[in-house]
Amino acid sequence: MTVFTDSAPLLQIENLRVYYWNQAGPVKAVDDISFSIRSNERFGFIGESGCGKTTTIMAILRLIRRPGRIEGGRILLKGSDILTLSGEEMRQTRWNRISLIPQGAMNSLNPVMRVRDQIADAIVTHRGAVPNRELRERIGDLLETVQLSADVADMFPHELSGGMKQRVCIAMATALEPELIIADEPTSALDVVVQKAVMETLIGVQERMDASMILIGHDMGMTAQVADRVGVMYAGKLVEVADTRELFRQPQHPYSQALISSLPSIREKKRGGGIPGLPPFLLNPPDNCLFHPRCSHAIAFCQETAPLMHRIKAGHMAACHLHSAPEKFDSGPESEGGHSGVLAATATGSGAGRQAR
Amino acid sequence: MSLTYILRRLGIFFLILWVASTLNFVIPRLAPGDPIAALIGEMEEQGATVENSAELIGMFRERFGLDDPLPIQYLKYLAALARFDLGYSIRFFPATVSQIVAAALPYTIGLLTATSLITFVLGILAGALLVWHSTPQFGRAVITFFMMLAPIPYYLLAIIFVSVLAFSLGWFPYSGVVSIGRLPKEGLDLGFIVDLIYHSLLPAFSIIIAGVGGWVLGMRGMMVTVLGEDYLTLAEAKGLKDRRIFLRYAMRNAILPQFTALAITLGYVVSGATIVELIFSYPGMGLRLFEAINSSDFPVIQGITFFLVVSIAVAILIIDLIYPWLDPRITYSRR
Repeated sequence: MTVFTDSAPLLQIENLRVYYWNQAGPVKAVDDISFSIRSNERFGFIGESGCGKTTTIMAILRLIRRPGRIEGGRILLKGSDILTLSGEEMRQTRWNRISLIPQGAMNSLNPVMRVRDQIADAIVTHRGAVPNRELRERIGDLLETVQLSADVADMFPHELSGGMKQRVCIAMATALEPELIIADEPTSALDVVVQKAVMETLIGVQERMDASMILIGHDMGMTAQVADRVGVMYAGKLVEVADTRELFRQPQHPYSQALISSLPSIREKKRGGGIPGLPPFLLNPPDNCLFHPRCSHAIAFCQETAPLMHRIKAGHMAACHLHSAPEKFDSGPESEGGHSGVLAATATGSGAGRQAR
Repeated sequence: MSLTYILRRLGIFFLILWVASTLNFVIPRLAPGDPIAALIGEMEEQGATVENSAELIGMFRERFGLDDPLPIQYLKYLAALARFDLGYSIRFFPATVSQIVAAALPYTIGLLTATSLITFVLGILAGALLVWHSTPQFGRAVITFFMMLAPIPYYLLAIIFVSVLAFSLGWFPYSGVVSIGRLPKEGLDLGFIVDLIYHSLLPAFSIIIAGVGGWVLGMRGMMVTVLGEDYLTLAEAKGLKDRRIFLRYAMRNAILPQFTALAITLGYVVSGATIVELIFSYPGMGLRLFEAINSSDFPVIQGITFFLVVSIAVAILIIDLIYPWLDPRITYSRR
């Protein structure tokens, strides 16, 4: 699927902030992120656990639970801000326009309801009473589109395998033909063979419905194959957005570079290059650039000024001073004295630095 | 539901009955001494001379089959039990134990089944609402207030009710099940039923108010667990209405363990609410049991115990049989 930069965005997120409040103050799980998703586009999110991917998509569905709160920003679905909708309007928007394929498909089905009733629930709530026969047919068709037999409708979740439950979730998510499907690690609980089949099913359904999709996955290989564009998140910030091919070939943000270089490669035998250090503790995050304590390029300036999203070329944005303020790096990162301690802490893992140079 | 499942449950049911009735048979016979000799001995102690005591003893022994070898006694006992023939009350001779139980049982079952069910429904709903996100603050406060009443023993509440509402204010009758001398007329006597309910209100209230708190606590605990489940998040993402998520997704799952507790509670109904019945002179099983214990009316004590065992076993059998319908995962747990 080709991406046209000029097509109107289906979903536009502007300066979204979601904080989880606790006694010590806010944990900025999603901090001032902006991105947009076009019609028919598959947008992938990558980043370590806890970087805010799931919080972001839960915010799009307005399903952030206390102590979490959406602190600000706009979420425009075809131009209208869903954060201003009333509770009832939001309820009607869910599933009708934005559906979710949940992270834990294993436990996402109500154990005491038949598959049929759980799918019917979604249809009847939004479309009103449907004649029984029509409903049966509709559910049978939905199950067929995800390669399940219509008999599955009469089963209870515990009678299904993991892959089957995941397919049921996909069937359910497509029942009302929403404009946007959010898939939160739709295949993470499955083995590789089933993963591929489920993913193909999901893409097939999404393309048939002309829906857009947000895809979260720990499996970057899978994301690279499936997504049209990818956003890289780190510690609640969106640090880079680019077309998939571009991002994986020429990552610009040091974090993206490190993340992508940590992928094992078949061609080249290399030591599994991780990213040195740990993601920051968000109750007490580092100043300004959140990645600077782990970054091999970091200079004092990174600690003093927060990097903003900077356009590198059409459709490629990154939030790093290497691009927005290259003149600061003229002397070269190693010669800077102020951060040598930081560098020493990261010296053990050189995979990231090697890739960057 | 598979036939094997039903047969297995029925098997367990009869096994429980058999074990309980056997214990009921064995334990008294393990006690030293001869019941008839003891009876005669008691008479003689009170100054009576029992001239033909040997003859009397022989007659009694024959009558009660005590000369038979133990296995024969045991079989006769089981055969009698199967016909609900529990022997005679010592205190109210010649009334049989079955007659005494039959007279008391309807009142107890009526009062306690109704209060148990009401308590259950109120407690379950309140417990679930207490942790549900859209419950108004006021509702939470009311529920919390009733939970504070939970640790008060129900008999204490009963005493307060009798003294304030019945004696001081005179709003309610303080004893009995119907007005004195009131007998049901032929056919459906609505006035009689109203009178019956009126007399049962105070004992019922004391049982309900004191009982709700326990259910609230149990349900709240389960509900909190269920609220963290992924299927609840998905239900909300599906855009279902709040009430439907609450009833069909959250409560429906949290209630499962509570049903077992309800079955056991209903099983105990037969034993009556002794203290409440005593305070309100309510002629149910609890009052009869109390009297029987006071007068060492062993056959009645044994009989009520046996009925208790039967009713608990029946309650558990029923819950076992409907459980696969409540929780579909149960039926398939064994092949």
